[in-house]
Amino acid sequence: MEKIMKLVMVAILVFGAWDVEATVRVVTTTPDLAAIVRDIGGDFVVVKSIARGNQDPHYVQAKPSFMRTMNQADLLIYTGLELEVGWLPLLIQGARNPKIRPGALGHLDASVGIKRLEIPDGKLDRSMGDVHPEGNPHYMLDPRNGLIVGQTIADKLSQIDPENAEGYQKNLALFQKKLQAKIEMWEARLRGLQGKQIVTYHKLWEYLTDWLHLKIVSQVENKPGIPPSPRHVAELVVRMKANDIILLLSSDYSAPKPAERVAQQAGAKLIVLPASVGGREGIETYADLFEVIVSQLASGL
Amino acid sequence: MKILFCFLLVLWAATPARSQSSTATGTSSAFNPAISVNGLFLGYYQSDLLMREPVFGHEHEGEEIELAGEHGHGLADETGLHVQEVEVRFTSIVDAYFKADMVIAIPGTEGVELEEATIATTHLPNIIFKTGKFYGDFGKHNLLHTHAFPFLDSPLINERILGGEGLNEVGVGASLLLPVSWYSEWNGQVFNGDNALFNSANGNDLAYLGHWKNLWDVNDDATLELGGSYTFGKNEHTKMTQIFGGDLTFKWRSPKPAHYRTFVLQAEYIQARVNDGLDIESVGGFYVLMQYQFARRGWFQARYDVLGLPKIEAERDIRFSGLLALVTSEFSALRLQYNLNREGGRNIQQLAVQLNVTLGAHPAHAY
Repeated sequence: MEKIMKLVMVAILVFGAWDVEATVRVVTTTPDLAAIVRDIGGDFVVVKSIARGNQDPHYVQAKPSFMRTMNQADLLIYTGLELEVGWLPLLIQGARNPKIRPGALGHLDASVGIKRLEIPDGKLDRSMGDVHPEGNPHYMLDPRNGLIVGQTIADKLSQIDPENAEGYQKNLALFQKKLQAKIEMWEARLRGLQGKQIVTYHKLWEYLTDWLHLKIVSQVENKPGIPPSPRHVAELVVRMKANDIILLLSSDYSAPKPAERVAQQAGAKLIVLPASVGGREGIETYADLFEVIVSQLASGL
Repeated sequence: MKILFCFLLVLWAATPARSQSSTATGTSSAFNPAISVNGLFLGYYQSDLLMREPVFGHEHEGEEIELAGEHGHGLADETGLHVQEVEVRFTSIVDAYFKADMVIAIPGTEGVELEEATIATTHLPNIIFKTGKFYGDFGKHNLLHTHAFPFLDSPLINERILGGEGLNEVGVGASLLLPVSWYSEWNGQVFNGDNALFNSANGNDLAYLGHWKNLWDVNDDATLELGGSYTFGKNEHTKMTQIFGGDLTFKWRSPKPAHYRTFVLQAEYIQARVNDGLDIESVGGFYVLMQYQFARRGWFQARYDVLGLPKIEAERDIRFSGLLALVTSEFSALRLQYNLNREGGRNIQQLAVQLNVTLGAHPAHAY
């Protein structure tokens, strides 16, 4: 009998790759969402992110090992707007966990409550590249959306774990207060950028520029997700020179060479920004991400 | 004015959804399944005729042998231009309990076959049950639809031992996630036993299949998969046919951002033991394949196929394949493949170029 108990204990330990102390086990698709869960969930939760910070979240591989992680989760949180459509459905199906399936309590699309940008008007076809039919999914790059997502997550955690609801709401209040103060500080710091025309590499920075009142004139990638044609690049350079556009934004996970070439030919400054928590060493919280982004943008003033 | 009137009339007629409620019309498309079409178009050359018959001849009365190229899902039978296959797929969540997948295939330009029609459970913890007609969970290659093959054709062991159609039949299955620290999945399936391999004259005989799949993360960027498969049932002589399989796959993808490098090494082994009432015949073989992504849109692949183990070397069929792919987007690829076949002492060459396109809302492919 003792032997059997030992075996059962070993099996439980082996099976439980999760921290058994925590009340709620959360899986997020991106490290940004995981960082906010960490701030709001505190010690009541344990959180794992599927994508890493330096990975393009469009192209994560649906590794079965992620299914195992999700099999044990109480809550799944994802970005939505079809950002993870290439891999998340496979993981949900393979996880065999009814708690996190669409419609279940432990299934949260973080985009609810977000004011979406760039919802396509009219008929779509794939000659337009990787257009997201539900709107641009990179809303986490506006810190004001972090405040909304924080609220969404706190409400969901309170629903799943009502015993600690007070704790979640307290953490949320603190998170929002701190972030709000920083947002005001960042806005003040970058006021000089307002109204400036810029070019970006990919359709990644629409929410950031909406926040900072920057005007995106064009992309180096003329169609999302498709490498730029030489003709488009040549035309872009001419346009940038003619309109005196001297700032080009790219991300750590975009191909560096085309952006470098355009910046060099147009005489513009290229700023390569981290696009996610964990994308660079030292970016551990959602606020850290914007500290780095704001500092880098300030250098373009 | 008349033209304007006609135009307005057409516009009005074309937008009933905005002005009429589907409560009244009953014609809402909101819950239509996701529909996709895969088209495979082929330019093909062969230097001579190739052996296409399955190793275990099983011509039933009134039934034709399923050959790899003719009605199966491999390359064409003669030099020329071909439609290799068109697959139409419908995928949908049925209700709060089930998910459905229907794949209708048109191999070539004629004939329609129900390639897969599966209903799977969605809301049970740790286990998925499914039923319908589906590819048996045997090894790695047998699970793939033609458009997802790593090469333009099937490995010899799949084509000639499991048959041109693969191990695909009406059955039921369960897929269980095992409670261990790595990804470990057990699949048990029961089939009707009325296919190319298991076709006992006694109509009551079923075929059984088990597959154990294991996957480990070597690190964040690489995985190692090890699987074992076993299937058995009664053959046309009402005796036992058993098939054993083993597979090993290593996958790596570069962690560097915008650095499009992927490497896959995969090997699969199949051994069939067929009791024909007089003797037990054993035929096996393996393939080893390598896929390397050397640019965002460029892949180079190589494969080595052997069929006829444990026979002496001279009696084995051997094939070398090389493939170069230009993956223009997630929805189209142009692939060029060369095969050198060594068969019955002859060398036969094949060259094929394939345009592979996906239309519509196709579900993501498994890892």
